[in-house]
Amino acid sequence: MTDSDRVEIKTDEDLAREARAGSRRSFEELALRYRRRLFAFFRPRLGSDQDAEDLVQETLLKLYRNIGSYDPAFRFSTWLYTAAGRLAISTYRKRSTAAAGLKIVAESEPVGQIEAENEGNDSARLWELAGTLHRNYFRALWLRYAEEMSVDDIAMAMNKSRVAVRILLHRARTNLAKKEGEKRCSVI
Amino acid sequence: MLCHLTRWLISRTADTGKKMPPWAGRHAERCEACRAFASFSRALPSRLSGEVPAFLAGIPDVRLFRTPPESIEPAAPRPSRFRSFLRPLPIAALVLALAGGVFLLRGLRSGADLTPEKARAAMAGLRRVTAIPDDWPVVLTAAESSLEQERLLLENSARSAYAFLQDRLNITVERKDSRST
Repeated sequence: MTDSDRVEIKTDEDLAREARAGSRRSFEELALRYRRRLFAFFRPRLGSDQDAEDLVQETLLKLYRNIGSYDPAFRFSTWLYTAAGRLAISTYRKRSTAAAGLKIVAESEPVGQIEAENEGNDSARLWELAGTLHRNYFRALWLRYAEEMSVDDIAMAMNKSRVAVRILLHRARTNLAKKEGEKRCSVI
Repeated sequence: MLCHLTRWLISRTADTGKKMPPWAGRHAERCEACRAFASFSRALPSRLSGEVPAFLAGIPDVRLFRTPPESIEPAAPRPSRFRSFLRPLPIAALVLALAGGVFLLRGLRSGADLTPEKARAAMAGLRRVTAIPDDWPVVLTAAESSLEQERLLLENSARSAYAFLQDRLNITVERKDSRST
């Protein structure tokens, strides 16, 4: 096997380009890379873990159907989260995630056990805390710090203006800091 | 108030890289809470980015599907602009435009071998078309008379409106220029 055949070392954009050309293997690698990230992105937005799983499944199916419209001039993650955000909004409105025909099989423990286990896991404490913020604050933080997107990319993915994104990020930081036990200002 | 502004500027620095104004920096030095917010914001990128692997590890390994369903095929890549340009209709339009251009060019070139007689005849025709008619004062008077009629009509309407207002509202409407007299 040559390096060009090893999908694990390829960038997201390379994989998306290959998937666009019809490579199923490249698409599967993209799905593997983003399934947990998408789950983390959706989970605070929705009522249940099951809804988040359904939405991950739907997003990836939509991605597969529309991979032909991916423009390599953009970062793949921006394109993916833009589609994911739109899907989440429509799902949030409808509150019904119709099964798209793909079977989800949990390989390990049920999703409901995550929080219980993470309570003792201090290394992910801040994200757990961020998960308790308003879903838009969490989304903005996730795209900024987990996906390392610029404010412009976040604005595109969240379909908001740059200023709106900066306000979201500012409020997210302020609320997160408060949750960490910020002191009241004493100087006026 | 100052704290809100200072914290907004701290966030602005984190997102855009713009420098904080000196007064905000001075305030942040004195205010313990703003100082704490500044250090929290500075540490946030490394803290949150560093926590991502642990956070994702807490999410179960969900196998979505082994392969996408056979019935669904990925959409074909969108044709590039160049390819869409090679469609029949744009090509036909281009050919027509080119043919028109060639025709015009040939017409212009053929003007070069005009004989003096032809040129004189063409100039005479042009003069006939653009010449001012002999009866132009009559035409001008007719145009002016219609304007005059229009003016008289307007004047009559204004006079009638003035009389109506005076009659109905029991007021005296005076012309502005007649007040001084």
